[in-house]
Amino acid sequence: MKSLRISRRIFLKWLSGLSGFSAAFFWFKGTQRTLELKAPDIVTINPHALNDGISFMDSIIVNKNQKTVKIFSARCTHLGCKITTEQNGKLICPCHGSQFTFSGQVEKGPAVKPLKTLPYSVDKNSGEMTVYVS
Amino acid sequence: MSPRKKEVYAKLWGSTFGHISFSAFLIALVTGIILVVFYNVGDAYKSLSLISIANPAGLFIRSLHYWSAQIFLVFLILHLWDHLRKSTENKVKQSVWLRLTISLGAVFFVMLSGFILKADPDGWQAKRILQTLIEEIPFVGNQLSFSMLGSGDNLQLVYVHHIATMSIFIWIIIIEHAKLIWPQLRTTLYFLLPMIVLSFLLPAKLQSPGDTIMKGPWYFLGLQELLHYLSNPFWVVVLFAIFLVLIFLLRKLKPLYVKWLKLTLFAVTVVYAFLIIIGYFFRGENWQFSWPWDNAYFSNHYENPINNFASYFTDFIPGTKIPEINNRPEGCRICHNAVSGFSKAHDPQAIGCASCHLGNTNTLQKELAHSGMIKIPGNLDRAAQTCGNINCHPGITERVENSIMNTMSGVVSVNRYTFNESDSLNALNNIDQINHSAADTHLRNLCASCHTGKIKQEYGPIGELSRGGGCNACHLNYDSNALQQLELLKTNDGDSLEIKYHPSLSIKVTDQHCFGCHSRSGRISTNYQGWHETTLAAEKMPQDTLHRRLEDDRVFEFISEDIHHKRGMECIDCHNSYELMGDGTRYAHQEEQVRIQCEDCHRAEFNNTVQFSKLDLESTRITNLRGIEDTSRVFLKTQNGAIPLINTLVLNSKKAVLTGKNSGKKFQLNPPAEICSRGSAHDRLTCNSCHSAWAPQCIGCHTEFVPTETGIDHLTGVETDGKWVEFVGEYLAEAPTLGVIKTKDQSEEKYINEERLAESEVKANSQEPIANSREKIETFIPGMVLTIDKSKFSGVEGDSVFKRLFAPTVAHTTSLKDEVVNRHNNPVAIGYGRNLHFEITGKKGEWKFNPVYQKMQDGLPADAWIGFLDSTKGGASTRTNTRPFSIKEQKKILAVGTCLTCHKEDSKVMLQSLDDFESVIKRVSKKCVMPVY
Repeated sequence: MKSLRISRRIFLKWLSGLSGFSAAFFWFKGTQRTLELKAPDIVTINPHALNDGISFMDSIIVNKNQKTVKIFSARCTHLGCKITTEQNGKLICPCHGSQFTFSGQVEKGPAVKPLKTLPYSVDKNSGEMTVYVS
Repeated sequence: MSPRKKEVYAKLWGSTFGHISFSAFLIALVTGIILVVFYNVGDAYKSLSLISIANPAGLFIRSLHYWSAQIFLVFLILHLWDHLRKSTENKVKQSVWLRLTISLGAVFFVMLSGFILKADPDGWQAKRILQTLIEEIPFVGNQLSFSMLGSGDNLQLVYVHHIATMSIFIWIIIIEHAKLIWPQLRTTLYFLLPMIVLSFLLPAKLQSPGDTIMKGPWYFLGLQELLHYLSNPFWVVVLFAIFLVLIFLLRKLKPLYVKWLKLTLFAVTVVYAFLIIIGYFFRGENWQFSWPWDNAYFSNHYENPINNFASYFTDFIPGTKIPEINNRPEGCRICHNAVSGFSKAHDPQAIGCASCHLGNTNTLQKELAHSGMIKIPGNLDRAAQTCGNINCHPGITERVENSIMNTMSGVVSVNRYTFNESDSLNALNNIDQINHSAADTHLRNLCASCHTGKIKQEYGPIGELSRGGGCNACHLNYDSNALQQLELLKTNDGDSLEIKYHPSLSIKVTDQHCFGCHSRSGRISTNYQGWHETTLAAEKMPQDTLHRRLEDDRVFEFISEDIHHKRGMECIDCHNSYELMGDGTRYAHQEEQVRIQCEDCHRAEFNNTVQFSKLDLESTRITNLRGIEDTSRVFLKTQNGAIPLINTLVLNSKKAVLTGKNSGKKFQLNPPAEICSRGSAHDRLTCNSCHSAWAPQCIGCHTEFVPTETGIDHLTGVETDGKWVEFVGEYLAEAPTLGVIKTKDQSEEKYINEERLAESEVKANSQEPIANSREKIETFIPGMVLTIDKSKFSGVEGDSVFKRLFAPTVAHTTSLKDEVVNRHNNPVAIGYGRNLHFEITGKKGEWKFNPVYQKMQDGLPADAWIGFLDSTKGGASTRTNTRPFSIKEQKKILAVGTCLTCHKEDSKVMLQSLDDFESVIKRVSKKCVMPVY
């Protein structure tokens, strides 16, 4: 059997490359699993305790109109800033000035995508809504 | 490095830029290590806020950390530029150059993470942006973002990378390429000095929770400006990657390419610096363009260095408890302590001072604390930040802005229409956006101060002379203590520290709040109290109880008060929150926003009810505030709009009670009289048609522009050359004119409840309708019977307008049924003007009209709306959905009027005529004389 001879330099190069790759692999897998294990971000709201119109509730924006409720993520679809302002019937992102209508559509850029409508479930007994933010 | 080669580098105070940068890095490192003792990553904002408020040593270390970091970055950029300029980047090995290139990313991370770790509104937004940008990196974006920044509301990973990972990496890279472990002592000491001075004069900032202008750190403002134009943030990631690759390529490419590359990099730097300047100086709230002198960012952030220096020496007494609002320390009440007078909802124990007044909550230095402060919150121009901030009443301030009491839409349209400047009476206008035409100048001179958006600029209660004030206009209340303190504030040169009693903001909206504006135009406030304006001069006013002088020197005489006022009811006992603050919809005219009708309370059967459990949230909150706790209570609701009347109590279908919202007085709700509801003859009449005892009417008005007088533009408060002046002929207090309001168009559909509409349509089909049943009879006054002389405004001789426009009104002069005088033979009510009588010659009867007032340009007397049984003249109105009575209707009214000249209203025959007038007429006695036309 012919013996495989490589220089120590080559061997170390390969070894460090392998170590680096392994580290990256374990980092990637570990982080991915951590993200998967993270409990989903949930907000519970009572729509009966909200005024008609827009309510800002930290990470979500609720648009209540008598009997209909629409829930958006407060994250601006441009760069993720939290939308905290309502002026002249528009939701305005304070960072880069994107404007959205109360139905979440883009009124003015730079954002191009409408606000993310968040799914929710309703507790029939209490009427409370569980909103799945992520 | 040989001394000869050293000479090639640029130097400041004998030190190269690289050495200065390294020294600044070391100072940042040392101050950072001290800062970790004061800083709590688990409650970051609070720990920094406490440092700013009451820990001068901590503030100094933080400021030194801040300034050393900025100087590190500035000199690092200069150091790079210096080497590129001299092409000395070749001195390091290619592998070191690669690591240096990568370390640029680390430098930006360590800088930006420091900004994020402030955990103020800016900091959190920066974290969200960085997170989104990193997530844009293909394949590993999410993992990388989580590894560097952690999850949403946690700063732990950012902190670890800021103080350890990246800082250590940068230090190693410095050591590797500079071949130095420590910076020069001399350089460090030299540059420590300016950093100390900067730290004292411009300490590191921390945003207050209410700050709304979001700007990143100065070195990223160019990027923020760029991102304002870039819809896809991925390009920013690509640009940054290209930038790093280009830097790396400087060691790889041929010298000629390197030269061009350097020039390109230099040009990019210049452009970027320009973008930073735009972002810093010319961007304000919501990244809107704004001149620096108009920019709240500077008025809030420009701080006098002397005041900054003084902030290190404030009198904080150790042991003093620093108040916290939602876990955020607020320095205000350390000085303004023990202030009382607030309503429960606005107690500073719960909401602090800055929720309403803004300012800088993170200092005890007076001038700094008051920078950006709003002395009188509640004005609509800043309502989004004060009353309407997202934690308090955001939806309501939006409604108030759109409400008719703010837009004055109808006033603007009618005025322009009257001046022949517009054909539209139904346009949606806003008084704040009017122009400088003759009509708009007229409003600016005479009317534009009466809207809720008018800025309240001086302390004091809402009185007869008050105008506007936003939320204050209705909700600000001074009791005797507050008034006493107001005097103190006026006399002690405005030192508010001595003020221990604050006026309250509450739901106690009194008639006094409404009076200032509503004692004008339709004058419903004065009408309601029984006062009628006269043309008397103030000094000629008889000194008796039947005359009253208002603070604006107008003299009123007593006619008769509204029965509701007489019994002790206030404006808000009928008018609810959706009417006063609007429902969010912009209306063209005020009557579209008003929902309450007399019939909501005065009805034969109380079937328009709503249970406590079914109340909308706003009504529920108001019932709570008014102390209504009986959850089995049943309320009345308006037929138009189904708004719960939370001060009503329905006992059974025949009995209901109304309670005074402020007074607590109880009022029995009575059904309408037989004459109102018997048969269908009076179905179309609103209660006002007969029960309005009188309405103020102005005859023979003239308006002209006087160029020689100085006026005031009530929108801007600026004096104007020339002004519009109104001349009054005569004020009369008599029963109003009646006319018809059509409910055809969509906005009017809201006005009439659908069920009632259907019901009256059925009746209309079964009998001969007077007219289209989708109409109702309402009261009108001569809103505009006047000539306007525009010649001196336009400069065109003979430029004048004559208009005869009647306006629908609800006079608020309700009389009891026994005091109602029939309108059938009242010529003012029908619209002819004054002086009509029934003349009998032999067996022939005839209605004769002999006008009292002179005929005007259109051939009608000054007090008429229409010609006597003549449809060719007059009849115009300030609305498109109204009309005067048709000839047929006039004759029908006069027919009943003829009977009423002899028969009493409550006589058997007249009551029978309510069921079927035609059959009664068929059996008239020989004595009766019916009119001939």
